[in-house]
Amino acid sequence: MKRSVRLLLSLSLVLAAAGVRAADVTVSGFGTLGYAISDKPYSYQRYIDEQGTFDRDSRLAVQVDAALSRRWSATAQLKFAPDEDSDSRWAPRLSWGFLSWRPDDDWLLRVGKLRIPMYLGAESMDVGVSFDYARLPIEVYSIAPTLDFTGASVTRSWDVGRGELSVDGYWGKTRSNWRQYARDGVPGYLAAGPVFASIDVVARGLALTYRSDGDQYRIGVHEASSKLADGTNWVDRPVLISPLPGVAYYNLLPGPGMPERRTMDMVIANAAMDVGLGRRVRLGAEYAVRQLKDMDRGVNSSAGYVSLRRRSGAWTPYVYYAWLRSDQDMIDLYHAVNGNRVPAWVPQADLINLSQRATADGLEIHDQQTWAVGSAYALTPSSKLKAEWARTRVGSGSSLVDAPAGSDVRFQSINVFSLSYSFVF
Amino acid sequence: MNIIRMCVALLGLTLLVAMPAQADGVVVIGHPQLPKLHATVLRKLYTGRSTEVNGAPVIVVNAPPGSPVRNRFLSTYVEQDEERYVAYWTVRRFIGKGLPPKEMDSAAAVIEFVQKTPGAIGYIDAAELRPGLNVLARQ
Repeated sequence: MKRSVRLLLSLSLVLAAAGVRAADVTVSGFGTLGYAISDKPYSYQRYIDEQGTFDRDSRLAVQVDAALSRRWSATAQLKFAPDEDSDSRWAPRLSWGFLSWRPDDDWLLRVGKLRIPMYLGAESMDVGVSFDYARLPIEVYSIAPTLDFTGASVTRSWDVGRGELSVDGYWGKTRSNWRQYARDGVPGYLAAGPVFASIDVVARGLALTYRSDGDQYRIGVHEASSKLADGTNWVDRPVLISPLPGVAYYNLLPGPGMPERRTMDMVIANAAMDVGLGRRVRLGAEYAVRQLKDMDRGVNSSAGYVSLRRRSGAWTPYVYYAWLRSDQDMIDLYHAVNGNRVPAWVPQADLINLSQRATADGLEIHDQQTWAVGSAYALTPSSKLKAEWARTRVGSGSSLVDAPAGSDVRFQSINVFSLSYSFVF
Repeated sequence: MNIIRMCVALLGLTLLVAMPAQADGVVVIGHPQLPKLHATVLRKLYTGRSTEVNGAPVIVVNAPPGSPVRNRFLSTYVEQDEERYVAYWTVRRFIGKGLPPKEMDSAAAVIEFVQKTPGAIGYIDAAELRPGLNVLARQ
C-alpha cells in the first residue's frame, strides 16, 4: 500500500479514536488554473513551450483540519496536480498529513508528512493566492529536489519586540523522483527524453525566521542524503577513459575503477527577506547555495532573486530578477564532456559520442537569468488574477530546458507569458 | 414661562431620540472571568500566536469579513487591513499552523457566545454595548 495512503488511514484512525466530531473538522482548499506559453519549440520547466500548457501551474487541493483537543490537532492535504514521476499525467497525492501538538504558545511539534521550511514561501508555494508572482522564481524554487518529507519538526517561538522569532528544526525522509532529461539518448542503453530516477532521501535542517508587521527574514541550513532506490551507486565525477592513444571519452556510469558512492550528500544554505519599504512598496529577495560533498555535478550552484512590488488598490505590479548558476568548474566540465568526440574509426564511435552528450546531460548544469514583469489583481481577499511576462536568458546551458535532440540550447532567450487564476475556499 | 420650558424640554427630548446612535469605536468583550487585555495580547490572540491568557485557553471570534466593525477592529488592534489579515491566515492555515478565528453573524451572536463560553473573546460596535458585559478593551 502506498505510504501516503497508509499515512492517511493512520490519521483517520487517530481521528476516530479521538472521537472527533464533525463540528471540530474544518475543510478548506485552494486551487490555481494557470496557463503558460513560450516562444520556443522545446520545453522549459518540463511543460512550457510554444504549444502552451495548463500543466505547469494548475493544481487543486483540499485540506482537512481536525481539532482533537485544545493542544492536539491533525491536518491532511490532498493535492491533484501533474505527477512528479511523469510528464504526461496528473495524479492525486497526499501533500502532507501530520499530527500537531502545541503544549503552549511557544512550542509546536508535528509528526507525519510535512513540508520543510526552506524557501521563504516553501510551505505555501502551492497556494497561488499567497503570493503575487505568476510563478515563484524557478531559479530559487527548484534548488531542493523535494520539500515534502515524512518525519518530525519542532518549532520554538519567542516574542521579540513587536515580532516573533522562531526556530524550526526538522528531520525526515522520503522517496522522490529525480528528473533528468536526455537530449539524444544512447540506443540500447538510454532512451531520449525524460528519465525519472527513484531516490530515497533523508533530510534534516534548521531555519530561523523573524516576522514583524508583515516583514519576514529567514536563514536556514539543510542537509540531504540521497540513495538511488534501485540499489545502484552514484559516481562522483566523470572519469576520462583512454582505451587507445589519442582516444578518450568521459564515463559517468558505475563500474570497475569508477569512484562510486552509495549516498549523494547535499548541503543547502539559504537566506531570505520580504520587507516593506514604505509607500506600499515591498522588497523580496532570496539567496541559496547548494553543494554536494565530494561530487561533481551542476547541482553545485548558487541562486537568487530580487523583486520589487507595489500594492495599488487591488493591483500589485512587480518586477524581479533571478539567476541560477552552477559553479564555474562544473560549467567548464560540462563543456569538456559535451564537446568531447572520438574519431569515426573508433569502434562504436557513434554510440560513444552520443554517450558524451548523455553524460553532459547527467551533469545537470545551470546557467540562466530571468527578468520578469507582471501584476496580480485581487478580485477578492481570497482570489487573484495574475499575468506575467518573463524573459529567461540561458547561458552555457540549463537543465531546466529540455534541449532538442542533436542540439544545444545555449545563449538563447526564452520568453514566457503566463496567466492564472488562484483561489482559496 | 412654564410652557416655554416645557417646549424646550420636549424639543431637546425629540432631538435626542431622533439622533441616530453614533458608533463610538469598537469594544472588545469577553467571558465574565477574563481580565482586561492589552492591545498587544489581543493582536497575538487574533493572529494565532497565542491561544491562552494567564494559562487558561481562549477562543476568539471575528465579525463577518468586510463588516465595518471588523475593519475597525483589525485596524485598531491587529494593525492590518482585511486583505493582509486574510492573506496572513491563508498562509498560516495552509502550512498547518492554525485556523482563523470563527466568524459570528451578528453582535447578538457575539454577546451570547462570550457570555456562555469560558475563555471566549469577541468584539462589537460600541453602540451595541449593554450593561453586564465584560469589557476587555475599548478604543
